[in-house]
Amino acid sequence: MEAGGEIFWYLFNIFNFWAAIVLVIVLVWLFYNSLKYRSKDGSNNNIDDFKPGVFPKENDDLKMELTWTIVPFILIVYLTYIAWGPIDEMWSADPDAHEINITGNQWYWDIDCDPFRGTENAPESNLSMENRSSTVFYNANGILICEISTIEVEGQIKPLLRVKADESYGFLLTSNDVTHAPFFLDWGLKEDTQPGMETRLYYTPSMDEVGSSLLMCTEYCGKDHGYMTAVVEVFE
Amino acid sequence: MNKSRTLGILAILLLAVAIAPSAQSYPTGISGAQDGGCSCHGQTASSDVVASLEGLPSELEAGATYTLNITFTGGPSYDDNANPAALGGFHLWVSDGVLAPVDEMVQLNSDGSVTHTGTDKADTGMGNDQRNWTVEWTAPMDGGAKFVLHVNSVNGDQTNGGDMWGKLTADVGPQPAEQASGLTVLASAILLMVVITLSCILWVFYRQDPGAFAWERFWPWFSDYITSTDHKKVGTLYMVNGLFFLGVGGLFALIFRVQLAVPGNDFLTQDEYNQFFTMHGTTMIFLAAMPMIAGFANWIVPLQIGAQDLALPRLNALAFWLNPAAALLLFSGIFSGQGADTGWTGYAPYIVSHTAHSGATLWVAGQILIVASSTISGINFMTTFCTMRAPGMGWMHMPLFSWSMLIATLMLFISIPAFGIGLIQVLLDRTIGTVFYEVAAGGDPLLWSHLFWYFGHPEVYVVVLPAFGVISEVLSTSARRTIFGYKSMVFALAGIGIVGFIVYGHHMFTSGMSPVLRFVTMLTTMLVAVPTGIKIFNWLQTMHGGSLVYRTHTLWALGFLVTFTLGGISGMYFPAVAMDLHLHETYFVVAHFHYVFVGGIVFGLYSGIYYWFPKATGRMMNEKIGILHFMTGFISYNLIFWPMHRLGIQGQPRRQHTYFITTDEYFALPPEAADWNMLITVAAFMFFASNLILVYNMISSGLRGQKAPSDPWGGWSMEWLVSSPPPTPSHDPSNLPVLEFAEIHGDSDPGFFGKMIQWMMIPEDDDGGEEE
Repeated sequence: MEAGGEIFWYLFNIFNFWAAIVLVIVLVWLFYNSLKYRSKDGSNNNIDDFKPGVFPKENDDLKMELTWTIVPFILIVYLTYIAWGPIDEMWSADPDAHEINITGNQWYWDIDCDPFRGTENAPESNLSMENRSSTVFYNANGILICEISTIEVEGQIKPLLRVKADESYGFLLTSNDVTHAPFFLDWGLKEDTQPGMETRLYYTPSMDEVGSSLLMCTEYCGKDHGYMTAVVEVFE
Repeated sequence: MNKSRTLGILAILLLAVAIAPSAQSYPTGISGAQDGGCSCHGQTASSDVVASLEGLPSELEAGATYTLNITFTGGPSYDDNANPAALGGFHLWVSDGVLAPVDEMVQLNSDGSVTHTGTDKADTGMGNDQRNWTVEWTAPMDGGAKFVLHVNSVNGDQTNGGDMWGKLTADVGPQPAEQASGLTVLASAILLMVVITLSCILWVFYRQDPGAFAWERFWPWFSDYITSTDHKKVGTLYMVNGLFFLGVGGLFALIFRVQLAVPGNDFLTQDEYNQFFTMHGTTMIFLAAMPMIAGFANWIVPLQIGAQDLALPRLNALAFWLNPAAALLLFSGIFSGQGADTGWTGYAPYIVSHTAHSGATLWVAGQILIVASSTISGINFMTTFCTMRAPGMGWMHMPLFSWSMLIATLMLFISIPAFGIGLIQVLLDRTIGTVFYEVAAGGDPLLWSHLFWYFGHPEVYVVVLPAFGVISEVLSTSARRTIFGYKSMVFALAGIGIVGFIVYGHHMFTSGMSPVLRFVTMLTTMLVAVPTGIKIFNWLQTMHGGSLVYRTHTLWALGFLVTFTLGGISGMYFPAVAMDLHLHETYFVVAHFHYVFVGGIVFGLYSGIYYWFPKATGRMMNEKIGILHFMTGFISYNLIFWPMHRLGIQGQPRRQHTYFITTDEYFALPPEAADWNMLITVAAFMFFASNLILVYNMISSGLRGQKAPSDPWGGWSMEWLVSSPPPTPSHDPSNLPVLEFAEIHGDSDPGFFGKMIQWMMIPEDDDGGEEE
């Protein structure tokens, strides 16, 4: 497994490529100039007439200055265009998504599957969940799509959310006290949970993302912020 | 009349403060129930009630089970208890091993401690009609344990009045070595720094004239500094203040880096860690970076624009003295054990919630003083720039450091009121119970974030632009070339100043704010790269055709070009919203802003220290020690912050006192992350030590360095006209310098805006800046 989702790595590789090019240009230029034009103290050729209290000769070249205004601008426009595509991918509502409510509390997560919101005929299996260590939810075809139980993380009992690969999920986020943010490490996604407000995230985990990963809180929320974890498992 | 009105207003304010609900504190102190005791049976422990705990062995056997007997004597239970069904109770905690009840007289609590049954006042046959109880304790497999026992002796009237309680602690088996708490370590380190700083001041005084040393002469010398309104002395105060708190901020970083060196460390508690990273950020930005910049501005701006002093010298001194007051407020919270734990961003609603430490109130109050200080010095500098430039110096002839200070001051002046308003609202919420940020009462959970970042992002440019100015001066002088593209440098500064106000939304991509704002700030943030790029390329081109002299300040400036370029490039990853969703609030962000703050601002200011030190003290700095400082500092700095990029991409969240390594059960950070964190901690100690070289160099060179000429580096701007150190007043007010030109300029006459500002700022009967 690898931290960061597909979109993240797509953008990251493009940005890295251009960052490397810019960095190489700057560093080569810097080293070339600072070595070529070095001089021992005392052998200065004062070509711009430096003298205290005298504004020296001007040193500019409009063509060069325009070049390094326009060329970076074009690069910026290109990078913006690349980043523009997926800008709302994770916030675009998917009507078929199974809804999962995540509520932030100081300092634990409440996770609740609600895949039947808006439909009337919940299958029987959904109703008989007493005496189980976990809560399970099936879709209309009787396929398990969401399960909530617990797992031990470094000696503490934390929620375990199991979701199915290639199913679309919508996360409805809110908070009971202060701002929190669940960080889906493997998917490269996070969104704040705000009190008095509902925020959303949409994601379809792929078959490549099968496995468990730690969910951490990434908006500072007080004392046990660092222990506010859960585990998200994608199953086939 | 005015005086009585002022007194009246003050009296009303005093009354309002007195009757407003004040900070709450626990009568028994700040820590948990074990120390506080059974407050339900009286406030403090009574010596009349004697507890005893029997059955503990002298030699502990690992894993063995012991039967413990708990009894007590004395107190109202023995004196005049009329009710045999309510005699007493107990509560027993143990640090290790397992406690278990043996009968129904004792119950197990959820935290592993045991207490008597019948706490719900069910009487007969329950644990509260006893004076002795029996429990079982299973010893841990290794190490010893500490017991804390509370017993209540009650008078049986079923109320708390007249009851008494006693306390007993017992140790068994080998005890772990005493470990100082993080706060103790911090307090000792800061105390040490204060002592060292004071000794340095004394030593500097002594070395000035060892033969004539006398204590009677110390106080006049010292009080001359602390009561001065001269821009150079206030500038020195700012610099000493800034460097001192740079060290304190570094101490915070060292202490919490020890905590993060290995995963799951317990060097600091969560509470301590949260206070330390909060104070690290606050100290570094508001008490180190901003005073250091103000120090440079105070020292250099009047000299550089050919003025005798700042326009409003007394206001200048006031602006400085608000800083130590603010520092006292900010730090008094942390030594109560309840310092602000909000992060330097102080996000609401957390900061107004009951879970935030009470020290957050003091933190907010200190920040308000900082806002006042910044506003006052903003007025001062803008007035100085508008009215006190030397004859012949048009706007477009100001040296670039002065330009950068002008833009930075304007930005600060326009942005900081938003922060001030937010702080005042939070202060009112926390003290007199207003509900600006109370979400349940209709407060907007995003209001603080908007107000804060409207200030917070320009604030980043406020501190980085002066560093740009320093680098422009240093590179130009070192290469003996005019800065390449002076005008485009000014326009780039102004461009950053304008665009910087509309980018702040990129701090809030994940907050659930309006998608329109998300999109707009993505575009504008990308745009900031253009003026920044212009500046970097102009700096590079400045060296072309020149003759670069390698001095320590040149090395720091070239180092700045490397690290700031890296910091600028990593900043380009955040406006791409889909990428930011992964990187937000991870160590990638930490790496980025430390490359800007340290690699940009601190390196720029170090360059400035080496560059202007001869001017300020009249002594040259030792170049060999300076180069040692650069080499160790530059390498250890990169060792700290470069690996943080990697940790961030791997998903280590910032502001957490621990981190999780991948196990068989779940995926988290790879095992190598622990090694990287250890490397960062080691490098952090190296970086801290390397900065002590600078302090040593400043003091020893300041006292014994070679005498400096008035223009040691061959710079052109007006600070090099006056002697080193400069006289007071800095430029002779009756004979102000006139800026001359090496070649004819067509634009010496003020343009439309220049005339406007002149008309607004300078009265027509102005006699040329003479004092009254």
